[in-house]
Amino acid sequence: MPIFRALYHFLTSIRLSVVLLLLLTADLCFGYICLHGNSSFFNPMNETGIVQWLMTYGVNRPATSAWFFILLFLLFCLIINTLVCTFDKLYKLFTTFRARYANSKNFQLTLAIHLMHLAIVLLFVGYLISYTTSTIHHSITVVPDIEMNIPDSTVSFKLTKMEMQPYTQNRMKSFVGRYIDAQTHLLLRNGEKEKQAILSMNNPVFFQGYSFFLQRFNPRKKGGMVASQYVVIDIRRDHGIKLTFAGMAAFILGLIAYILLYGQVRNHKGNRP
Amino acid sequence: MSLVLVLQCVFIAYLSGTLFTRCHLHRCAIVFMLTGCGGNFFIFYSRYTEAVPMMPMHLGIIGIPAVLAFLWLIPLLPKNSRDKGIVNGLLQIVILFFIAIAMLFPKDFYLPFIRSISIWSHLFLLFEIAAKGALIYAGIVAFSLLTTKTTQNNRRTSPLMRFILWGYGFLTLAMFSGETWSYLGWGTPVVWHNPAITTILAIWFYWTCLLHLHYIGYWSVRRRAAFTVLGGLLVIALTIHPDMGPFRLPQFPG
Repeated sequence: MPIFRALYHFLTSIRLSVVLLLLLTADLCFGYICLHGNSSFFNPMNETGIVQWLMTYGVNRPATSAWFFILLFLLFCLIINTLVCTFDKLYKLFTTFRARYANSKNFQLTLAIHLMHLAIVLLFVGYLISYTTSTIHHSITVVPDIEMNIPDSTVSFKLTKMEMQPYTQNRMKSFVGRYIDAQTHLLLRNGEKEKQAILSMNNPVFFQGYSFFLQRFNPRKKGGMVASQYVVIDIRRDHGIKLTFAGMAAFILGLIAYILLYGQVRNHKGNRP
Repeated sequence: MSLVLVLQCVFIAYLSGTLFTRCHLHRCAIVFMLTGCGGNFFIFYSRYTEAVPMMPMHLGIIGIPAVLAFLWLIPLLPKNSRDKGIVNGLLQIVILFFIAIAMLFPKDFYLPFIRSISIWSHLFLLFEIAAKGALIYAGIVAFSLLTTKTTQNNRRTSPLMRFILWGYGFLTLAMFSGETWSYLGWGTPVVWHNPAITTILAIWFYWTCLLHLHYIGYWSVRRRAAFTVLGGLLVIALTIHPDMGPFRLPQFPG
């Protein structure tokens, strides 16, 4: 079928990748202009997820959000192009494979490149799953000694203790006397399963598929009137994050292998008569 | 001695280094460039340690010229090559441009935020500065390829590719460190409300495109070099604009 063959050639084309990558660059530069001074408009995306944001904020202000719609479309095209192109190249590589090449640096270099391409696909699929299927319970205020349940779940949690971390340096005057972190002791429970964990800034807690992120805490300053103790947390159930991190790890592995092998292959070629 | 005054001294040292280079007084140029680089790293270090354990804000505009000055000082290109003269001259102009912007449009008044207390935020900043330094350097090396006609262009792209690869590697590490920090801090690998994310992604996609163009070899060396120069300019523009504050005339002591 000539149409399918033409479509296949179009999808495996590196020229298409080049065009898509340039369009992505241009779109993101435009996005930077749109984001400037409009960051509060994009902030709810982190709280509601991409689909809800696009259906509400995104649709209501198309001039500001158009770049994001275009970005999603271009990324989708890039994933398809990368996936088809990589599998095509891998298929050709292994059908013409000869055992004696298996240990050659050139072969390993090619594999490193394909690993990076597959890693990028994994990464974007991870994002897609994260942004479309995640359950987010945003800004939940938790006070000490009151057990709370995660909505639509049997998991419960209780704040048992808070240890405030003060700013101990004196280099930044505006931070003197302020707390910069709160070590929040949580007791997590799901039926028979129980876990004690410490939640703090940039240190989430994972339990039964849920992750807990500290967003804010109170009190924020030492001294003064006795302020009420509470923390504000986000609870997420994210199915794509493992894929995202696997993609990142695979990409770094491929990149390190590539950088190490690139010099060797180049030297080898250069030494040839 | 305030950091503003040190910055002015750094500018004067770099300017003197540039002028001595023009006059072919290389030893004097090295002394002044070394002084400028030392002062530049001192400002970077001072602002960094002031903010620790948090990540300092808008420090790229100070860090990148320090990296470029360091690259100027170490012999990376073959000695006595014509490229080296062009590269070093352009490098000095770019360094002066960064320091002039940092002096006239300072954005050093932003306080760091407590969510940046993470090893990943610091890695993000440091890798980003290293990456942008290497990519700007690659852009400058590419410019030197455009200005001369030679039959040995393929041989001359070798150091260029080395800088592109290191820059791209650091940029990828910066991006992944940023994503890890973003996930640990906000619960999502990309926080879309931050304009800095879009600039990093734009630069990353551009240089990914350049690597594709290089390996498929559709374009001639000169075309690829021109594309690399544009990439260097993109990095400069997307670094300077977010780190630029309102215009302020330099204040002199007394």
